[in-house]
Amino acid sequence: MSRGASSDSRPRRGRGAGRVGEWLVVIFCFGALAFSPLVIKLFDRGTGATVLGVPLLYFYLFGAWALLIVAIMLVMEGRTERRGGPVEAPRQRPSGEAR
Amino acid sequence: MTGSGALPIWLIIGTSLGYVSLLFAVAYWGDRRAAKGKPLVANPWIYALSIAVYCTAWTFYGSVGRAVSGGLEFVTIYLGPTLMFALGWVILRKMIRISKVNRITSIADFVSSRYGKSHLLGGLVTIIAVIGIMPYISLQLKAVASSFVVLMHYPEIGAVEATSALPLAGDTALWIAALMALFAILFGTRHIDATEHHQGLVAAIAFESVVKLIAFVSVGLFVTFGLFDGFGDLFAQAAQLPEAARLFTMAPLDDWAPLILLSMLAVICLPRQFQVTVVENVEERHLNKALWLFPLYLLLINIFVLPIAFAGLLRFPLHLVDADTFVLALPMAERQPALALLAFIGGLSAATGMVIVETVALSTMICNDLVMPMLLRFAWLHLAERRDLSGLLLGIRRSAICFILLIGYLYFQLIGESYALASIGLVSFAAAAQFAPALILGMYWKGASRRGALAGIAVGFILWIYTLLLPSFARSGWLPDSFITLGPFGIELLRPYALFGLTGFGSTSHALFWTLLGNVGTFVVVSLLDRQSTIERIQATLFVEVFEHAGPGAAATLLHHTVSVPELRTLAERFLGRERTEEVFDEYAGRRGVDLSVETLADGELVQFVERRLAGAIGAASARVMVASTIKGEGVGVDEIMQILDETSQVLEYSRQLEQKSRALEKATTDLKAANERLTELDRMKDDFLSTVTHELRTPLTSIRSFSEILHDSPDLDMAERQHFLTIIIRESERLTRLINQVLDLTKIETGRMKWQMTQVDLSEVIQQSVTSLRGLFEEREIAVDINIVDQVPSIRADRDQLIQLVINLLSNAQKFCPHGTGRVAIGLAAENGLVVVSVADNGPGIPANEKEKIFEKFHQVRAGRTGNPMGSGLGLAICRGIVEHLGGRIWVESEFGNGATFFFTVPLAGPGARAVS
Repeated sequence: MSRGASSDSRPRRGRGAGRVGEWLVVIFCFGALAFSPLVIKLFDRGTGATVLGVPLLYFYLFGAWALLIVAIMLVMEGRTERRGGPVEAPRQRPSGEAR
Repeated sequence: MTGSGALPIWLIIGTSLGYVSLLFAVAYWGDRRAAKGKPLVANPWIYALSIAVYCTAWTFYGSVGRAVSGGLEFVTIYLGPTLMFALGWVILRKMIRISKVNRITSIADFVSSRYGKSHLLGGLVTIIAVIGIMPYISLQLKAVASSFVVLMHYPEIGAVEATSALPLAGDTALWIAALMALFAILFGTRHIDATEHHQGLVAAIAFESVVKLIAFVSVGLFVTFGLFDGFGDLFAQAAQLPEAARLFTMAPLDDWAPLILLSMLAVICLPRQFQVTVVENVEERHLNKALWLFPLYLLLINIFVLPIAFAGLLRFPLHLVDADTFVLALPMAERQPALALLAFIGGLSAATGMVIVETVALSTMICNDLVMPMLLRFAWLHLAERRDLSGLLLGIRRSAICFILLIGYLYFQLIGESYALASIGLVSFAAAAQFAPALILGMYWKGASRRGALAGIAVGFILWIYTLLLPSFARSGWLPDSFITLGPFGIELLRPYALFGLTGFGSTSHALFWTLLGNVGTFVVVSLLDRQSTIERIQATLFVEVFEHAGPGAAATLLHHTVSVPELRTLAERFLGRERTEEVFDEYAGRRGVDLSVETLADGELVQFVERRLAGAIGAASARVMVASTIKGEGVGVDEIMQILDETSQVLEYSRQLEQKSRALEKATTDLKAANERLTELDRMKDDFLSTVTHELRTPLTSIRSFSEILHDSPDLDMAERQHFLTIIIRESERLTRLINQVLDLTKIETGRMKWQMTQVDLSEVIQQSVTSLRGLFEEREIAVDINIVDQVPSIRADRDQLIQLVINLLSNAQKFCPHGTGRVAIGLAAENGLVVVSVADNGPGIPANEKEKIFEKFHQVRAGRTGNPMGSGLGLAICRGIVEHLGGRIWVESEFGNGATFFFTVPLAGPGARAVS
């Protein structure tokens, strides 16, 4: 009648939720860095530098922006997929034994 | 449609009306679906699109204008929200959860509720929001009106200054304002809903977001791929034009970070954003998708801003066309009436969406946080008599919507083309940002207090007026120009755009710096100095620990159960109407599994439940007052409700006291245990003593009795023997008397009943006499006695007889322990340090270290070592100690076990202490 230990191997919701918050904070920090004047100045090359005909500055800014959104999307959508099945309610101990 | 000829005005108006009708239809459909229980907005896409109400006409037309003047800087307004949504899981999710649990209806309600349901704070936030946002609404009206005028002149471009001298523009704005008011009233204030969800409205807003995105992207695609050969071609051509080429490099980045910060704060603090993101959120999980969908929307709507700006610069090189109208002017110049019409509709939808949501949000705030609290306070009796207040609530909200739009329209008419409108977007952002510290800190810092929030917001608002609003008036010509250039009254340090000499920023960044500095600084410092009231603490905990608490009902048990279910029902009916009240009560009954028709008294949880539903209709602060009025009867003020809530703190206080008491009890128990042990010890000693004393008494008594019997039974005893026996009897009697006297003495000393006859006593004489009286004893046991008395020992004040007894006790004690024949006893007397020291030394076996203290205790006897029998009554030394201590001295023994012992006692020389004894 003993319960196998393998039934609990699925990642817990609590842990996953915590990770989402942490990942998003990391993404925010990268975003704040990417959009900081210091970094933007690195890509400020005027009309000379272009990527596919688009000025490097514009390309960088919109590219970083899009990457940021993709990163958020990956974290959020990954989360909903991983969660999958219904969350298990905490198991009740059979009552009756007073100890 | 062909490329030539004018665009008939009926077509423009017809299309506009058709579009607005479509909007009404979508909203109506959304409401119908919601009523049928198949809500349209239960969908993360709709939710994300509704948040895109952030993009107003200011985005639709203004972004291109800003790009032409400032290059890339315009994206900061959209990067900020992107970053804020990256933090959405941390900040927005918490805001939404808090609002759901507490039935928050607006940002003013949120702030007021967080800081102890403060009317004052809610009112302040409302007033700031109305003042700060009103011009923004006029900006939308202006945008629609001027775009209408521009389109009307199709295909001529730039021939007319947008709204100049055309009465039609004003009329257009009025008509638009009226239509928007109608829409907002129809779908924003259809009924008083306890959930404050306007599903039809949200559906319409989401629809508008799609329309404006399609319109803008269509124009962008047409420009980029129709007029030019893709991005590369467009940028290459623009690079040839000096005016466009300068936009390829960053302008000074001074304002970059402040603007990102400002827009980050604005996207959660603008009343309309709070409305769609937080209040209208149907399910918390919708946020998960919106966190990336909304930033994606912002990215998409901004991709073509630069191409349109460059195309406009290339196409209209002579500055005849306002850059703000490029979106409309480019299709017109290219003879694309359909596209121009689409662009116009896009701008219209951007403006209407913003105005509708903003007016609904503001009207809710005005109603719940400004008008209702005032009515409840000033017209209390009147309100209490009204049977149905839901009509009044709706009336207030509808009037507020009309009022806001009317003021917006008048503002537009009054200021017209002036500067004030052009920069108003950022000015409004900065006003809304003043709520951010109270909002965000309030969610994470329990110590943030009501007075702190009030002071912070007030200071921020005043600085906002000074650094942004007044200068904008000056630029519009309402104030002298010198106000900006020279400062008020010529005080240069106070120039509103360079306060205290701070320069190097744009006016918005400058204002943001000072307002946030003043706001946060005041907020934090006042909060730290402040002491929160109970309700503040409760609310702070509810907000900060929203994820820890199981849900509503945490504070429910605090309320007294003194309200009946029918009373509560009547109250709810007055605000929610009969039907909704039924729903609310049924929902509660269903959820809790109780039958409310049998229940007579409402329990705390039902009261709480109804209060939260009411809060959805009239705001948290007002709902609390209303419910409290039912609970305790009429005329109950906020203060009394505070008292009810104060009970929590009382309970806390009791439990703290209880803890203290139990700690004290623990200590007392320990003390008691120690005392008990001591008592047991004493008891044991008493028993020992009693057995000793009885033993001591019995020995002489037995001998007296037996010798008396011999004398009695043997009358023929010879005289010598008879004499001997009688001597024994007398000696034993004396011993008995002595023992009894000792017991009596000790008892007297200990109970303080001893009569002391204090005189000046010469101690050396006392010692001489004592030795003399014991001389016989010493000689009998062949013990040598030495007397060492230094000269001139001063006399002391004491009872002479007691002193003699003391010395005799010590001497007899000493002789008792001296070995027979070789015993030596030395008695000394010396004076030092104001004390007389008497020592009695013997050469007996000495006293073990652990006995040195105990031997002075009464009944204690040294048994071991000598004969195994006690040598005396055990009272002698105890009596000694009693006498010495009474005379203010000290007695002790020094001994090395096996090498005799020396007893010392001191008596103070005649001094104050000695005198006091008598």
